[in-house]
Amino acid sequence: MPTRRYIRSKTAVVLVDPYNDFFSRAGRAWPMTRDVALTNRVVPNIRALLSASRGAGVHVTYAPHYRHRRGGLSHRRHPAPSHLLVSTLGMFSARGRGGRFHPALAPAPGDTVASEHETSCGFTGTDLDERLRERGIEDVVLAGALSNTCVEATGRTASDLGYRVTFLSDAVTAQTWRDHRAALANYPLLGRSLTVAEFIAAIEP
Amino acid sequence: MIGFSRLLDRPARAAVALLLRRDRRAADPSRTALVVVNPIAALAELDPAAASALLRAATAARSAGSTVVIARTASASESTTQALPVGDGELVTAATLSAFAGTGLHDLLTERDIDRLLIAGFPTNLAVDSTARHAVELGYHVTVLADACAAHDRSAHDAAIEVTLPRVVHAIAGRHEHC
Repeated sequence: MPTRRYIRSKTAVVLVDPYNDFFSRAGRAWPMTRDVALTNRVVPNIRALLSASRGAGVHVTYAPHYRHRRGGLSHRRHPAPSHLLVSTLGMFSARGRGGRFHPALAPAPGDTVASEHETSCGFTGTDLDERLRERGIEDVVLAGALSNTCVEATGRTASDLGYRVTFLSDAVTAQTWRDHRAALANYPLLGRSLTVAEFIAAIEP
Repeated sequence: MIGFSRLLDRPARAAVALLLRRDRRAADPSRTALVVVNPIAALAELDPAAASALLRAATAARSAGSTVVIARTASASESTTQALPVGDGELVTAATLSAFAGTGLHDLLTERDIDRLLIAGFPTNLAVDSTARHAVELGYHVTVLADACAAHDRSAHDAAIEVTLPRVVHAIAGRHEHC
């Protein structure tokens, strides 16, 4: 069980890509992400996380993926699998519902929404690091999608940037169980791996 | 648990694989670098085949006229261990997992107009993975040399090579196909 307490003013929950396309029934990727999301009750868990964090004064920051526009990634000389998947499935459309936040997981007044990331990592090419530093954040607590791609990539970079990193194992979903398990095996090597309930219990009283 | 998602994931992955093949600009060796991550002597005991593949990759890169980078990162107490004799290269030392984090590696590669990276070394799921992801974020074409990588345990290596890295990098070479 965790012994170290999270200091509210120095902790930020970073919610990665909580879009309809990942978390809503009509979402483009939902036929894949639903397996892990429904079994692990990921949407209710993230809701509980958001409400407990906001209530306790733990800062909530959003790390949103690039919202897709036609030709918007044409400057990428070597499109990566994530760029190709997003454009093939027409995900995170800037015009449709897919690229909007899931209504139950949307930002509330007082939350921070960082600028959009183009690939997987919430930090590269965005103002996320700056937004966290200006608040004096030391602990980054990650939730969202996908377990082994954007969430793990954001956690790896957070660690490279000197933050302490916590992954919330029941507040993330992936394309398949294999992907999810691959992420869960890495989390304890990259930071701490806790459930939402364990994290909430470890916030300083 | 296998789940319905696996059935849908296959055609999606196949479509992405097809699109990746369209990125066929011929690899120019002078614009390619091999990034050797944590070439430590202990690798030869952990996975002798991977250690020899790493040495071969370094020799091949050098004779093709590619840049060779030797990156030491924070991983698994290798600071006290002996190095594998991979030969000369540009040395970078990172305090964390990605060879790009807080080092001049991106500048060094940009100065030489390097566009493609081959990445291999140790541990597959930690420093190699972080370096490969970071390289993709920065815009490089990234190939991970699977047979020249090893991790502390086989399942961690396999999960990185078979499951996660194919979603992240452009190509994985030297993988035993069994999917």
